[in-house]
Amino acid sequence: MNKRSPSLKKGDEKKLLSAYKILEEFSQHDLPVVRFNCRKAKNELWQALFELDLLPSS
Amino acid sequence: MKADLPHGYWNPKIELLPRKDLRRIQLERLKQAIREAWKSCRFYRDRMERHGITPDTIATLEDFFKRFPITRRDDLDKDQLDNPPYGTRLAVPFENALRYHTTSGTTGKPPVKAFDTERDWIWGGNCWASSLYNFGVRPEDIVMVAFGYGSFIGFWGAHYGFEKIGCRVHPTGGMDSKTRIQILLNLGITVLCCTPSYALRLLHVAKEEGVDLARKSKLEKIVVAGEPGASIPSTRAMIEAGFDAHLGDFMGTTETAGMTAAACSKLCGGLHINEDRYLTEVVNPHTLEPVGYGERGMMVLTPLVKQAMPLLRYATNDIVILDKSDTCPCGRVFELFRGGILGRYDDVVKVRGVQLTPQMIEEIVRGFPEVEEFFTTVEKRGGLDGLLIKLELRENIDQQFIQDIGSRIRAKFKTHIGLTPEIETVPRNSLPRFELKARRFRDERPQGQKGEP
Repeated sequence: MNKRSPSLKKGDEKKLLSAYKILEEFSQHDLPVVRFNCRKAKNELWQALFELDLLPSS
Repeated sequence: MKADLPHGYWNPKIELLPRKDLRRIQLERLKQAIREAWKSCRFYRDRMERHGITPDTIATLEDFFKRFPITRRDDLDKDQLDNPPYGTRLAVPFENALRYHTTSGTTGKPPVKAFDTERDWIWGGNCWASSLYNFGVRPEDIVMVAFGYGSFIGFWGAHYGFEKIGCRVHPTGGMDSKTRIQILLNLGITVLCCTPSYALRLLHVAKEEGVDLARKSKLEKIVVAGEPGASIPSTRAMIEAGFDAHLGDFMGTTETAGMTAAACSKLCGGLHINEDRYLTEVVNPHTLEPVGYGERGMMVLTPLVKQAMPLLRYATNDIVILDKSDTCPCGRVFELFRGGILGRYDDVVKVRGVQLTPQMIEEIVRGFPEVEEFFTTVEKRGGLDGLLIKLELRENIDQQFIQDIGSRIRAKFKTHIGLTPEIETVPRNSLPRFELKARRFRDERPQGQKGEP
C-alpha cells in the first residue's frame, strides 16, 4: 500500500517555499484585501510546510 | 456496515517515515518549542529557571523526559488565578492571540482560558483534518456536527478539519435532537460528529419518533470525541448497530486545541498518536516514571508547536495504554493508544476496597440495551460505602424484564467488579441528558471518607 502513496515531485519543495516567500511579502501589503488574504494563505501554507518538515530551522 | 472505509494517508512522507527519523523531527521541534517558551513565555521561563533548566540543558528527548518539570492542571489554574485574567502563559503580543476558548468546566473547576494564534488555529484544524482523512472522511462526505459552538472548544477543530478536506458541513448548534434527526435524514448526512453520549441520545430520540436510523439514514461514519464511550465495548456496539455505521474514536485536549490521537480506517482498536505534532509519554501517575508498552498509565502531552500558549509535559490525568505501531496493519509508524482514553485518574474512586471508574459501570449497564439512561452515586449508608444505580428503561419493556433487571445487573457487577450495587428504576426522562462531557457518576460520600484510590 505504500508504493501507491502520492508524493512531492522534483522541484515541488522549492516551488512551495517560493510561494511561501511571496505570500509572506504580500502579508505586509498596504491594501487590506491583499494583506489579510495573503496572511491567511501564508499561515495555511506554513502548516503544509511544517507537516512536510520543509521549514528551514530557525 | 454500509461501506468499507477508504484507506489513504494524509501525509505519507511523515506517516511512513522510519521511527528514528520521526524521533529526530520530534527532537528538533521540541528544541524549538523550548527555545520559544524560554524566550517569550513567562510561565515556562519561571518554571525552567526554578528547575535550573535552560534550552541548552535539553539535548535529547530523554533529557526532556527526565529533567523537564511536569505541568499540571492545578499549575494552570493557579497561574490564571494569580495573574488574571489569562495567566502568564501567553507568549505572543495580545493582538496576535486570535482565538479564545476554554475547557468545558465539567470538572467543577473554573475553566482554563486558552488562546490560539491564527497559525495555532490552522494547526489545530489540520490535526483534525489529517485524523479525519485517515479515518476515511473524504470530500464527498456530508457532515453534521452536533455541538453547541460555544466558548468550549469541543468540536470547533473538527468543523474546520471537515471544511479543509472539502466536505459540506452542517453546524447544528442550538438545535434539538428531533430537528437534528430530520436534518440527518433530509440532507443525506454521511458523517455524524458528536460525543458518544449524544450519539446514544439521538438513537433514543429517533426510536421514540419511530425512525430506524440504521435503515433510513445514509450515515456511514460517526466521529466521536470528548468522552471515553467509544472505548467501552458495549457502548460502541450499541452506537455502531443503532446507526449501522463505522465508529471512529478521536481524542484531544482542550488545552492544546488539537487532535492527539485517532482511529484510522483499519479500525484495529487503537488510536494512532499524531506523533509529528505531539510528544507523548505514558507514566505511572504517582511516581511519574515511564510505564512500558501494554501497561496502564497517565498520558503526558507536549504539543510540538504552539505559538500563543506553549504547553510542555502536560499531565492530562487521562488513563491510556501505549501500543507499538505494528499492532495496526495500516503501515503508519505512529504508535497507538489501545482503546483510546480508558478513563481519568481523577475519576477513579475506591468503594469497599475496589477501584472503580465510571467506564467500568457503563460497560456493564450498556450491556442491557433496555436501559435508556442511568446515573450512579456512591453513598455512605449505615457507615458502609454503597453504590446506587438509577435506571431509566425504554418504553414498552416486558414486565418480567423490569422485575428481573435489578438482580441481573447486580449479578454482573458481582462477577465483573466484585461489588453489589443497589438498583432503582426511575421514571422516564427524570435523569439528566448530555450533549457534551457526560457525567453519570457522583461520589456523595463526605470529604475525607472517599477512600483514596
